[in-house]
Amino acid sequence: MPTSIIYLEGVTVSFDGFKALNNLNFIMYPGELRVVIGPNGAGKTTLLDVISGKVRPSEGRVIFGELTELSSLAEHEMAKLGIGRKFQTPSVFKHLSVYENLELACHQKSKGVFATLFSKRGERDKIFSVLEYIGLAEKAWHKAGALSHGEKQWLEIGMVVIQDPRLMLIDEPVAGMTGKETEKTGELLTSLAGKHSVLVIEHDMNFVRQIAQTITVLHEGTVLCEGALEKVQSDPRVVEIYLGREHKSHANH
Amino acid sequence: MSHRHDRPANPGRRDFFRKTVKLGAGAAAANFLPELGYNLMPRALGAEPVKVGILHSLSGTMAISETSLRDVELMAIEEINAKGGVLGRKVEAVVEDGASDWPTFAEKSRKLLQRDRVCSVFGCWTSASRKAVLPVFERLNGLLWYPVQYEGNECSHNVFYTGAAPNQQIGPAVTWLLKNRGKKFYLLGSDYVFPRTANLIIKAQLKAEGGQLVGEEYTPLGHMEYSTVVNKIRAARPDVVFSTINGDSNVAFYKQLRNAGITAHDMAVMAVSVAEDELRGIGGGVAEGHYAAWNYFETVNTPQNKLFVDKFKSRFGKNRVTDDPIEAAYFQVHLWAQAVQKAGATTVDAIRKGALGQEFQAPEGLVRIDPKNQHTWKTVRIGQIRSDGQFNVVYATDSPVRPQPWNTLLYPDRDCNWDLGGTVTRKKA
Amino acid sequence: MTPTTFLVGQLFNGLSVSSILLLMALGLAITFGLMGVINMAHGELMMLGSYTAYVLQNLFVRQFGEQNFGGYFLVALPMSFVVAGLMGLLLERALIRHLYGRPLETLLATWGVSLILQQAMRQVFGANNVDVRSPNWLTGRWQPSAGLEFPHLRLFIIVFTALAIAGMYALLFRTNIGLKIRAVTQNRDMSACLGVPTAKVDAYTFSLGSGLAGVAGCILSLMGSVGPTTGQNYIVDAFMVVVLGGVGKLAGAIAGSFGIGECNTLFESFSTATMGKVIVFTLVILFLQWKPSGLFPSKSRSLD
Repeated sequence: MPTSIIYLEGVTVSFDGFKALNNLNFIMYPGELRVVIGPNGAGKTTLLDVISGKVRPSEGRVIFGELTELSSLAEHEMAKLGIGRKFQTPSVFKHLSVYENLELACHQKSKGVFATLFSKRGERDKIFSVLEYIGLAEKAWHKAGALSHGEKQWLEIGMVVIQDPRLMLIDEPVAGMTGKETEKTGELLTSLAGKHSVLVIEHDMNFVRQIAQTITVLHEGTVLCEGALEKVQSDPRVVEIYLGREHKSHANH
Repeated sequence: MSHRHDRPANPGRRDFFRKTVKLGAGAAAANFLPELGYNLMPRALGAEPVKVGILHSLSGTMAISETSLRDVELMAIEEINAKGGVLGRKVEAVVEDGASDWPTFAEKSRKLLQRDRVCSVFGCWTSASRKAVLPVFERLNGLLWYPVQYEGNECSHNVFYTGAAPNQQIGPAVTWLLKNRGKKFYLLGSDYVFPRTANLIIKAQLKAEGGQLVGEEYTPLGHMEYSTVVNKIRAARPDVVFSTINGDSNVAFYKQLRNAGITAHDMAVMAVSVAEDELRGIGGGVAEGHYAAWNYFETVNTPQNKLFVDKFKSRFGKNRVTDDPIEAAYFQVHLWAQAVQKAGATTVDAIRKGALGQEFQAPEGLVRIDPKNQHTWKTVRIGQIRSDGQFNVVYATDSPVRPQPWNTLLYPDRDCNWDLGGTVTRKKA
Repeated sequence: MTPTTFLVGQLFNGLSVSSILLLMALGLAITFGLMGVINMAHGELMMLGSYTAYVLQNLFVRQFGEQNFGGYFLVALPMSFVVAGLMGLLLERALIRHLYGRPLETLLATWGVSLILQQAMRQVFGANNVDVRSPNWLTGRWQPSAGLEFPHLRLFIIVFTALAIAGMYALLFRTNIGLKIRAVTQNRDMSACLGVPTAKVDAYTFSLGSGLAGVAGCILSLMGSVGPTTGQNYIVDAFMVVVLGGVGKLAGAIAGSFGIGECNTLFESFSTATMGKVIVFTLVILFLQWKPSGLFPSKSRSLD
């Protein structure tokens, strides 16, 4: 068994008595592309919050890579460690240009002032290669606020990619995208797996079908079941929570 | 100098928090304790001490100026006690802090008169604070000794005015300028009551004595940008700028005037609000050659002044300077002591009677309380600013000038005369 | 003096007043404009710069004599930046960082700081104003034609302000730290998530704004008074410039100061100093009624 990239053991997060995560155990290996699904309130976003250090678990351990205990680190230190996150709502710096957004994300890898000064050239090349990758090279000098919804999502994925993180956390990448945009996003993410470990949260089952290798289903703060698409789809408990009770949810497949 | 730091009645947000503490070498504990209303003098055995009040702003914006007055008033009381006090009794000072706040002045004066039952109070600086305590002194029949020059137009039976009336500062300055520097006047002042009142007097005098007004301008209190004013002055080409600018603005005005290349040689500025204390912040070099009109300068050459300045510096520090209001605050305590001695009693009415016509050899020369209007006869001087921040006295009246609280040009039919019951209207001839 | 030379003189004065306003407001455009900190102690940070000039002047006079003290000013400029900047750093670390997003508490706390700084200066230098003299090389005048005299000091301030603005733009838009400052002031959470050390950037940014205030104070000590209450003379104008310009935009502060500076000088030419100020204030109020977010509206973190 190789070393896990992220390992959660008995993690509980409670907000005012409500347990968003309840004794959760979760493991992911390097290079894996994992999709986490689950009805609203299942604890998907809280899971990402715990991994990225935004929320501290009230119980349990979070181990990143080779036994790095995360619960004692500040948010920006986590980023330095190699965890990149894309939020659910597109969050880019609206008043900065597309290029500057990437530049900002890129800087976190270089350590000192001098390193930054001398690597300006290499940095520029790197930013443009990512711009090509996400298809925004033409719009490098546009203000990010002026991009379309889908483009903002890609920019944000680009901002995670350019940090070259070992673990990428991606929250609902295709929400609000057209079918074509969704497909392109899927290709983007699939191509990332292998080099990086990618953890995606998604509602859109078509999209899940397109990219998923392994799926984890969360329910009420714990893992309901885990495995390949077919296995998960045929699990009666999954059918139960999706079809039986959650008709209102837009993930009702 | 009621106007030197006169501020509108609401003096600004931070005044209540500001306790001025001067760090002169001589600043002894005595400098701090009185702020608590502390009784300084130990009771002389046997005889009951004579109680007087000292009421100045020891905190707030005015503390910069008024703390020095408290210092010299206490110094004068000490001198009197060293010579055995008055009527064989020690003099005891009750010090109160008016806190640069006019209602506080009124409240503290009521406290001094009713609770401490002081027979006289030395106090106030701004006209606003004097106006605030005046009704209290008149209702409770107290006596206020007021050491700062002011705009006149007042005549109270309960106040002795030991600073200059307008005719003892502004009037002679205008006359001197007309004779020595030229006829074209530009009037420049801060925008509040004193400069506007003073300029009314000056304009009347220019008309009467053949001067010419080429400009009149008021700048807000605390104004710091004088480029346009300087440009206007340059365009108007006056011989003289008569300045009633007050406070910090003076620094900006002199610096920017000098910066624009206008020196005292081209055009003289006559100030009635700039004394030695202010010059320390302006820099003598910048204002060199310009003038100020006062009754007293630190450089006045009298034996009394030499003693006074030496004593002041050894007590409060070599860096401290004396100036006109400080000197008046000092000599008024001695005038008071002579009045009590002459009256042989410490009731207000007896002291008032004893004070009328009282004379004293002050640092500025002989001063005399006018028996009719309770103002003070004083020598008028004009000083020219030196680069070291001191003045060369370029003009002085031969003898003390009689005070006139009502300007004779503006109010030809009015006079202050307590033989006739206070403010009187003369029959027109 | 002809009306034309008077007018040309006034145009120059307007430019000079504008650049002085801009210099006063530049630091505030960073701390209040970008960071959203209502810093009532801005004036006192300027005062620290003024006192730095005073102390260095005295040192130079003692060291090089009355004739050759003028070099002090070249040392005083960077030193005032350092002194006020360090004070700003201390202020941010000790106080302001606990109050982000709470404008009312910030206002009260920084007001308290302004009182403490004033009293501290009173304890050290006394309550009276102190005298800061122009170095000789700034006391001359340039006379392009008869009746027109442009003081070197005012020319110096105009050039210095222009350079300061250029420097600020370069820093904000051409450097890594500038990018981070812009990112953090736009969205703190996201910046943190990207690994920007937001707390450090906040501290540097506030320190930078404070340092600029110190430099402004250093230069203005040659124009006006230097005393414990000096800062109070400037703070209203500084806030007015930033608010009129539009919080959060450097260009706004530039436009705001030039609007106020030229208008004030123009109105003062034809009325009085008091009336000029009244008219300008009225116009600013009317303008803000019409456009509440100023000349260059922009969204900033605290005001979102």
